[in-house]
Amino acid sequence: MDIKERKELNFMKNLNLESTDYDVKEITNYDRRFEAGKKDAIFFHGLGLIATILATICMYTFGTGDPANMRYFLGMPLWFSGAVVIYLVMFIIGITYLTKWEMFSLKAKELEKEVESK
Amino acid sequence: MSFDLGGFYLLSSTRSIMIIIFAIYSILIVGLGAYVKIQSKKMKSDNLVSFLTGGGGLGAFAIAMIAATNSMAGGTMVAAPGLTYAIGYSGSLLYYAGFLTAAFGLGSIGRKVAIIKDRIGAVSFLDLFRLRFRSKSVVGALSITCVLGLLFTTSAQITAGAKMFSAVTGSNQYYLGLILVIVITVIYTMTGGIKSMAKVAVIQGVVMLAATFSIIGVLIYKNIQTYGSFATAIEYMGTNYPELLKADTTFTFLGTLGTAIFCGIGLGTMPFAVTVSLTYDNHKALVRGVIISCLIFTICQGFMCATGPFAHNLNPNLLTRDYTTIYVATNLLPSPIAGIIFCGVFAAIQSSLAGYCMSAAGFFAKDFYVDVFKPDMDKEKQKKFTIITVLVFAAIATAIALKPGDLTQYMINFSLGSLASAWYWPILLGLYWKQATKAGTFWSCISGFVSYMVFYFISSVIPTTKAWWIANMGNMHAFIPAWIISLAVIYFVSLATKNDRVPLGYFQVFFCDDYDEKYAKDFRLN
Repeated sequence: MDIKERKELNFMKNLNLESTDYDVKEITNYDRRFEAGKKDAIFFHGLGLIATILATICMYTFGTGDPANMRYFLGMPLWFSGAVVIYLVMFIIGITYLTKWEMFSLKAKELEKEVESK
Repeated sequence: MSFDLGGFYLLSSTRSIMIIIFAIYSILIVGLGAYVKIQSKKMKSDNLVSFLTGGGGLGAFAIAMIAATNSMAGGTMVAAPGLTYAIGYSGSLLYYAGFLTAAFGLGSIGRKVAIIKDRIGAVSFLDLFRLRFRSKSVVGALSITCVLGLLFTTSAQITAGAKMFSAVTGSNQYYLGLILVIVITVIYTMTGGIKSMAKVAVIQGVVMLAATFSIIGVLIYKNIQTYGSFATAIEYMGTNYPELLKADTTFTFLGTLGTAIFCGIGLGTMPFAVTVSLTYDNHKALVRGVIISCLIFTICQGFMCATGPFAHNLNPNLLTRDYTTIYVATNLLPSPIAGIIFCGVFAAIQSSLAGYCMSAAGFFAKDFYVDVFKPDMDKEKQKKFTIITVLVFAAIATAIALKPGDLTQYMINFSLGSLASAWYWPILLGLYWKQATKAGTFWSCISGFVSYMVFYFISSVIPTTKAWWIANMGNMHAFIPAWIISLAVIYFVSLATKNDRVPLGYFQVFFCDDYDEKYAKDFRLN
């Protein structure tokens, strides 16, 4: 733990913990693991929402006419196989993201050496 | 001798084999539940925490199976094939948005929930919100909307299970199926809680996978055998049943989009999904669990939702469309495999029912009744009250299931929509947005749930308003406006009440790496 971090911790310890008059933007010791979780949530839900919108657009762009006149891809109507491909791409991106997660302790406090290595 | 099930027949020999296999399977499952219970008692872990969270030390495969089977079950194995049999591939795509369900849930909130759980010793998911907002009204609103939404989800699972039984017994005895479903599920839920559910879910997940591969495999094989090739089978479908190959058969663009959103990203914030986040304490187990769960979900959901149109191509005469899976199992596969598939499908329903009953019991008994009204109730009484809640909840869900609809999936969609409308933004923004306040979260939950109900009745129930909704709103799904309202409410009300913060000590426990233990251990509301 460096001097700056120690100062921040001491600053927090001197605060009145019963106080409700604080500014969340001025707090500096947010747990990096929670911030990582926030990024995860934004990433996964953003990815899911984008894929859902794209797949639905694909469905209604190519799938509203007579099946005899539809374009086909991989043996199925394009609107279906195209949407499936979109969802599978979403799946692959999501799983790849998961496999690259930084591993950290799920205990209450991160181990000291892990804090130092950040 | 054979039994007419409306569009197909069930041979009495097939029926006998299926029932024998199911009886053996049920004895094994209930026996396993009882064994886990006895072991828990020997290890002195038979308390409320263990009952509700499994003690927090489950492995990756168990996490994956609970997460996957909680989100699939009767919907994936029975109701979705029934829906796609009726409306075609447009129905399939509604559910493919959920390929990453475990990542939308555990992947998004799992790490934070596990850490906070370790900090405060949470028993229930809503303990986190008790700490976050210091508000009985927030916890109460989430509990009540959860129980109301889960009632219909549970009821739909019971309906799916009862329909399976009414078909397999060969006499359309829906009410017999209803009784069997509820009795077996309650017995094994009560014998071991989530630990037995975890062990059972592992077995059931494997059986579900085998069932999925058997069903899609035989359907593709029979279609190719009947029509000469896969391409000609699809061509036959397009010529004779064009509605099965069109995207706009039943839903409009906004109808499909709304359903796909709450069946995709929305599933991750469902009460039964977030509860799983209390069952592990190891990062590697979490990552593997999420990946395995996503894989299983994608395989089962992907294939099972595509079975309906293939089955329709072989037999377009099923009167009860929810019998699609049973038709395939009993008429296209050997009897012993049909028996195993029946076990797999019913297993999935059992798992989900157990999960829903546990979630509802936890949220209502522990989070709402005990913590809000009876904080002094001792542990033993709490456990008894939780068990009574499971029974009452199951009884009400059964009562709702007494009058089943034609397509069970619509009932599942209704309940999932209500849960996602009430829970999506309060869960995500409550966990991660530092400026969310208790007023914003409470009103977001209430406004999401109430507006969903109002829009649902306007758009789907009342004939005059339904016609207006179709003509003027593009038949938009009720979830979309409710979801937007819930987001707007949590944002604007939180900003308007930004001075109504929790004491800094609690805020630090929830967001910071340094905090005072006193606030972590003293989060309950008395």
